[in-house]
Amino acid sequence: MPRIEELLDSDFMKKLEQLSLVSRKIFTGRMKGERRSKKRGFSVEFADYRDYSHGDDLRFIDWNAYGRLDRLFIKLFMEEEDLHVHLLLDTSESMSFGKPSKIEYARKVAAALAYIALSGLDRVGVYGLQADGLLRFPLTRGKKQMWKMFEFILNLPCEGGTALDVACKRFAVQHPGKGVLVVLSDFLDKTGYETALKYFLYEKMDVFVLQILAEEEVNPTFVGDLKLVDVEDADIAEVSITANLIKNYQKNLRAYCSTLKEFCTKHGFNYLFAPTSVPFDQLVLNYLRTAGLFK
Amino acid sequence: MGHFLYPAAFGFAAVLPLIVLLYILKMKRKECVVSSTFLWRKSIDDLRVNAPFQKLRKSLLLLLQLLLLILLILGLARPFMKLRGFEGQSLILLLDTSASMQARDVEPSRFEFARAAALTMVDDLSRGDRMMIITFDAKATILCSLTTDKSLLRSTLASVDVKDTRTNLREALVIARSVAQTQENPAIVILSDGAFPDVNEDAGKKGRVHLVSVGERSKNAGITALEARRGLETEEGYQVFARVENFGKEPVEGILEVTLDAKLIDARKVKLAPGEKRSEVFEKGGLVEGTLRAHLDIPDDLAVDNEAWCVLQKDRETRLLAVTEGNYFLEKVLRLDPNVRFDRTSPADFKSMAPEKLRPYDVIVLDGVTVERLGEGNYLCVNCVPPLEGLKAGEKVKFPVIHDWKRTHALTRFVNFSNLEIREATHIEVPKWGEVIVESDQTPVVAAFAKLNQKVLVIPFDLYASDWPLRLSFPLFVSNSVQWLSGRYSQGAGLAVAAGDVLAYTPGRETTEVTITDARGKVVTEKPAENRRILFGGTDRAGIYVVKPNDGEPVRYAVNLLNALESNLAPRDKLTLGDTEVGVSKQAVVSNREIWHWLAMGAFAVLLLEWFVYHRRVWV
Repeated sequence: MPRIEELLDSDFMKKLEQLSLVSRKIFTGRMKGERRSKKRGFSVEFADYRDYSHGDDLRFIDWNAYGRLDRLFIKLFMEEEDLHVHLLLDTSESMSFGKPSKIEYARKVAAALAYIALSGLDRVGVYGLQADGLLRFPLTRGKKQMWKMFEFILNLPCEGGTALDVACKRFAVQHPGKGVLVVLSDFLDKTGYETALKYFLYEKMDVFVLQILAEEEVNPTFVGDLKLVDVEDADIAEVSITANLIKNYQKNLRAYCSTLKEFCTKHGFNYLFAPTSVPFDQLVLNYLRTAGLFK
Repeated sequence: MGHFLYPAAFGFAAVLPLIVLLYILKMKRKECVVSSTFLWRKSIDDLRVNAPFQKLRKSLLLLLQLLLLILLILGLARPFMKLRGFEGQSLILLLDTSASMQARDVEPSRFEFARAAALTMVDDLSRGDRMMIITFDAKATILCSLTTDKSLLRSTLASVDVKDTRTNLREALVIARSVAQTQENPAIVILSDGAFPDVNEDAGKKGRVHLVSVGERSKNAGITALEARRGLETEEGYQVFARVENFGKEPVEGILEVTLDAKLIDARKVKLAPGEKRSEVFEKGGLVEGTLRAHLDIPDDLAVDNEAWCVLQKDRETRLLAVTEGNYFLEKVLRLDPNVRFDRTSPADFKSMAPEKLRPYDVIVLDGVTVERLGEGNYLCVNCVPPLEGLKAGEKVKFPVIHDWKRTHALTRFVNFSNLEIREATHIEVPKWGEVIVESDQTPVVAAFAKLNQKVLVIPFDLYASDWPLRLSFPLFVSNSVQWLSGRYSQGAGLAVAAGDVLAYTPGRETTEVTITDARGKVVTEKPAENRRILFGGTDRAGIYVVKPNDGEPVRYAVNLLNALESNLAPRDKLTLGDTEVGVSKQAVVSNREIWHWLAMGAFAVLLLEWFVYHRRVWV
């Protein structure tokens, strides 16, 4: 597996160590993970009693107490809450663009987040969003799984077109519930990202939208008469690069990004613009924390 | 324009539609993979709305490329422009100012035409081209060395005047060649009617030569010879010989009249067929002394050769005093010349003579007379050695054998000294200022001494001690001696001078200043040089020149053209220098100036413009 070493080179690992030290904090979901919940629930560890009410699970009635006191009590145990961290990576071919490619960047960020989450004993699931479905590494906890997960992240194929909505819909259906959802994509989808993101609305998840753009996309350095080929659908756009055109492109890109941001804000998602020029560790430590992904 | 050295290059024009075709087929765009094209599409659409220049620029580039290619093809075809003027950065102009340039077959005259052509050439000089002006007639004159200063060249040309002289191209050409030798890209242009003899020149000289031939026709008849000889029949008086020649293609008819001091002597009708020469001899009483003018009254293109002058001079007596005890041979020979008035005196009488009495004598002959001091005057010293500075007399020598004499000296004209036997001679040592005329193995036997106002001839042996008096050389030599000593030897021959030649005049002993009035009345004052000769070079105009010494009678000189080459106005259509033929053209020369480099520069400029337009997209 040479690619693991590629991703997880010593430099990266060093940074991960750093991250794990600095981020001995927990993902801030609506649910707290890894420590005792204030809520009482059903667990191994006893916490309290409460009166039985109709419909409670009969298995949790403390029959000993009933024998002594002739009253029905339900045993309450410490509820262990796992935070479910879902990392959604856009693996469409457009993500392979750029130097370093966006997918590489996304992989690093995903790996870093996974590492932090696993260190914090949260459950982590990794999903590759593909045009026709979902590649998944199911919810896992424990650092032991880390390598497997990294391998999965690395081996995510980067091909095909973008059809965020199909994949997102499938994810949303299969993963109801709470948790933290991080979507890593360039959101350069000709069909639009709105439908896809709206599926997350119905989940009680904290959604973080990371728009990863390559430096080449933010500040294009094209010169001359070009035939621009879309990497995904081989669509061709013939352009003659002028300073004006570049300016216009950048203006359009900014507008596109801010529309996405607006959309996110409107629907309670956290939007983060992540150009590949920002080192991923800086992104994870500073930007994501500022955005409130973890404490 | 419109002239191409290599029109075949227009075949390249076939490439032109190719470019258009390529454009129609659209340019091959570089493929470039992007993550998504939709933002670009959007941007392009945005721009298209407000940038109609986009399309224009495409066609602008196409147009520029077509223009570039057209310029290159034109350049390959090597177009040239027929420009007046000459190729060459150093133009050496040889302007003919000889007599034939006065011909009026072109308006207003050949010379003015040539001057105008020269001025045009000055105007046509490109920046940085230099020009030099040399005029040539009987001699070459550098009027203006190589310069870029057009106003200087113009004013120089304006000041040039035509002369009545023959043509000497050779000298001018030598100067031009030597200048051309040092120049990068020289061209020698001769502005002339070609009335000059062919010039022999070594091949392979630097600088192309081009003759701009001025003149259109040959309509001229002129006097080509005028001479006065002593008459054979009459004791006194001259016989005048004149030759008239028709150089035209038509027969001419006119009157040749001869006047002496404005008095008509004779007038003859002459009829000349084309190319005919005719000699006329005038022999009338009264042709003794005065200025003779011959005039040919035939209207033609050249006036200067219709007139010629001749100075008739009465022979002047030479007064000669022989101081001798009696010398039969010498006296006999001296008395031969009718123009010599001979006086004889004894040495004793001579020594007592006052200097004033000696003054009228042109020549004093001392025959074996030893004098303490030589007075004024010219002396012929026979068998004696006069006291002259540095002249030393030594022992007698026996049988000196003559081995050489100065053959070019006036004294030795027609004289042969070989076989002259001398029994005994006095050894003399001739100082540097003297001249040994005849040299023997032991001593000089004739020595000549010339000072500013005195001439002395020394013959240091007794005529009786030699066989000289019996030889033919003796009377000739004595006659030469008297002429040389009296200073008259040159006058008869020297009264006629070809225009442009040097007028040589030997003034009298007392003369300190000579005024020369030229044919146009201009007066020049000259002082005699050390050798008592006056050389006057300003004989540019034909006519009578009057030379007047301050102490004597004026002498008249006839300055004539009398040159058949000048009178022959036929314009030259061929000039051969050595073995190379030279280009000849009629008008101010038109040279083919290739202009491909301008086209190449234009193409380069278009290329730059294209590059700029192409890159404007990014850098504007």
